[in-house]
Amino acid sequence: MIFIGYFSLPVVSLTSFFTGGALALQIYYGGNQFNSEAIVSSIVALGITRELGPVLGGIVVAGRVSSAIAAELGTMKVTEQIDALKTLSADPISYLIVPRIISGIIMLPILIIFADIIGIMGGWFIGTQSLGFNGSAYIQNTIDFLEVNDISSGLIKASFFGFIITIMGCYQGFNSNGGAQGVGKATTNAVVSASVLILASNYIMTNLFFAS
Amino acid sequence: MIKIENLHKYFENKKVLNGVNLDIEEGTSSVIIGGSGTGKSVLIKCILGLLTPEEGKISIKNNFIFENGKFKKNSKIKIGMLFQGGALFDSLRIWQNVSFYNIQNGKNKKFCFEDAILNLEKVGLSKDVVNLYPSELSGGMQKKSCFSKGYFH
Ligand SMILES: Nc1ncnc2c1ncn2[C@@H]1O[C@H](COP(=O)(O)OP(=O)(O)OP(=O)(O)O)[C@@H](O)[C@H]1O
Ligand SMILES: [Mg+2]
Repeated sequence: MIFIGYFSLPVVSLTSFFTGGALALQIYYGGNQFNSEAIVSSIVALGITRELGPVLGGIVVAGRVSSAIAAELGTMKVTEQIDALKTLSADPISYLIVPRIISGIIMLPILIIFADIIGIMGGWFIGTQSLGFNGSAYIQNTIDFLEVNDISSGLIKASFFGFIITIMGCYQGFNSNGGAQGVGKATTNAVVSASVLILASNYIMTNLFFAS
Repeated sequence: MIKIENLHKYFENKKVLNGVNLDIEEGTSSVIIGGSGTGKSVLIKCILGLLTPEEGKISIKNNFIFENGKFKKNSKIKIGMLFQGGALFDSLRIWQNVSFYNIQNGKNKKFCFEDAILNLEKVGLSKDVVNLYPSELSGGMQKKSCFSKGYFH
């Protein structure tokens, strides 16, 4: 829980902050600069809460957490610790896998709430510091524009990504074999498969939530 | 007590167990001897249900736990095993390793701790080690801890 949530906060925050900032710049320079204040704030808010917060946050956490889970369980597998659990009549699934999946499902949305706030602050920071927007108007625009649905859809996505991240780590770790090299392979496979599944399932969920 | 009939186990196309028959009486000690890589560990893992044989029968105390290519569900048997590589849980302290079975089965912490000290004494380890992690022990001390973990439950 603490590992997935708390220790992922700095890297998720940084990712989100810079993404929010870059997004603000792109919209400002790429779009019509007339009425840009309202447009920048609303598109940053939408982009971060609906897509970029959960997806980029999910991928960053996949890099941190899927890999760590795969390495940990993979090492347990190749050193026979998982077999030892079975002989001591402890079910490896409920002992090792279930708690990890539950913490992923719970912690990812909590992380993404922070990512949303910090991403919007990134846009706000660039907007006020380098594009000359009015700070309180920017915040007011964001609040007026955002709907509960924008945030909640992102958090549902995040929860599903938490499931993908942890289950891929567990699956690859459990199925690793062949010593240190096998554990290395499991680690890589966990990150790659979790990232790809996050991107693919994100597309499907966006389709479900918004294309009606 | 442990009876094995015509047990076969392959890995891909490599035959490791090729029709093993074995009958071990209750209350006796048996030794399985063989060259390196001849399948001793594989045989034991089949008996414990850690590997699934291709063919044959395994019965313990006159109950078939493996038949027709499948392990029976709920055939949880209580067999301790000292793994060749040790298999201490390296994220747990020594006493938690030794008392793992009791902790899992809801025994109270104080009992588990003191029981672990007793069991470690039986294999000649002092109680200085109970709070250490497996990686902080020497190879021989690790093996002794594994023994008391596998044996006393
Ligand atoms: N998971 C596995 N996948 C493929 N082959 C395996 C696997 N486990 C064991 N083998 C093969 O099965 C054979 C028997 O292995 P086993 O570990 O039972 O040997 P052993 O008799 O215990 O040897 P030792 O005395 O060295 O411990 C070996 O040739 C080994 O390569
Ligand atoms: Mg062996």
